[in-house]
Amino acid sequence: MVMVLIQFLRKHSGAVIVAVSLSLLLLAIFTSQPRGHMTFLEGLVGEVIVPIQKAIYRAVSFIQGSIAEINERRNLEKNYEQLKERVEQLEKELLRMSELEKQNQRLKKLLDFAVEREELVVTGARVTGKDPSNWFNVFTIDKGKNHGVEVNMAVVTDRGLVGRIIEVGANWAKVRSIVDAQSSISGIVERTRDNGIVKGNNAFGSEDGTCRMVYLPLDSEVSVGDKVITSGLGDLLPKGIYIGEVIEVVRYKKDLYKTAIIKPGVDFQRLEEVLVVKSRFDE
Amino acid sequence: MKVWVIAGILLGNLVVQSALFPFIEIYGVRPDSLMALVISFALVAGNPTSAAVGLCGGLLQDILFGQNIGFYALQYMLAGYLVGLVYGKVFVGKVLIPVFFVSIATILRGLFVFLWMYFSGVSVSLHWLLLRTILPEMVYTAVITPVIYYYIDKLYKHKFMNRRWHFD
Repeated sequence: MVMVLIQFLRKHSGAVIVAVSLSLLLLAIFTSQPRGHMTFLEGLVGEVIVPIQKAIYRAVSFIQGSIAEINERRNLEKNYEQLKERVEQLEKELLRMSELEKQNQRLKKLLDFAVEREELVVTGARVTGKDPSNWFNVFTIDKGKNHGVEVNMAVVTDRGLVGRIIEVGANWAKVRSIVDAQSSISGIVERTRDNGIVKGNNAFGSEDGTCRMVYLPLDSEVSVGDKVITSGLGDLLPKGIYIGEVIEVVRYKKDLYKTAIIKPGVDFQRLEEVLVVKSRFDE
Repeated sequence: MKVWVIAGILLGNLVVQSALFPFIEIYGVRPDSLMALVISFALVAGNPTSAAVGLCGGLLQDILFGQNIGFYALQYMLAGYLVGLVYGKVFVGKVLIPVFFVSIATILRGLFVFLWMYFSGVSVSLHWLLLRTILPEMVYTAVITPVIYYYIDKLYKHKFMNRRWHFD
């Protein structure tokens, strides 16, 4: 029976390939609409692979961390002067950090976000894997429906917005990060209160991990260094989550709006633990 | 047996690609080891194996990370099928031919993704895409291809891989 099938496949391989290609293309187009829920098969595959992924991801990040640590220690032991210099540097850094922290706390208080967030947090989660291709910025986490995670919930770290849950399995979920080209979030410039849409810049050819904030009004006074937060308008993310800092403001000739390039607060290269936060309408 | 070996390789590859490669990326670009695998299978075993490997490997990637089921599957299956067509027609050395086909396939795949994004309304500059993503990915993938090809080639010298398809 199997041999007959294989022989048939061999004989009409061209036709089979064309048929399969067309059905895959249709399937891809059909499934390109956001769905939210996973199919049984998707859930199953995830249940099997995510724990393995998690273990390897943790192991590798641990090894990488240890190697960096060992190198650092060796350098320091070799050169006392360097060490001293470093201590000074670190002290300076510490000072700067504590100042930054104070500033950060002030800002958070200003936004009334620190208090608000406590209630909104659904669960902490570990990043288990990232989309292997260089095109999209989707990653998986190890918490799912069983832990209260739902579609459209925001994913954050202490440094700001990471992304949004796009699909949920029983014990895992897919997250689209804000630097993904297909991500768009409504944001607001904290100082000038200008509304805009924050889109990912990746896969635009400029894979530098930045976002663009578009549709800013032409008379907007947004400038470099301004902070951008979520506005809570339109989409389902809670208001007031820190997104990033403006590093450039441009106006393209054909556009009737200003565009701000934003450097996200989150370091997407080093994502390990994240928090899942309730969407606004669930409050 | 053969089916299970290939399935194991694909699963292992997926795990390594998604959990290990984020740590070895250079300027945000990672090698596409699935492409290297598919091309290796195409040159060592030909069709229908290579098309099936591409289809299954792509599907796994779709299921775990993609939102469009079939998106990656289509690319890798076509790559496996088309390169599988030259199976037995050219003398395959250890480095040059695999690297050549992997490079071509990576560029074509990049163009496919570009077209897909273009038609789904994402404004993309092909020029930058080529310079920043497609070409670096091609180079990085080409570098790891000989290693992967070497092991797949060796694998196929084992007895159990030379038998016909058995589902036991």
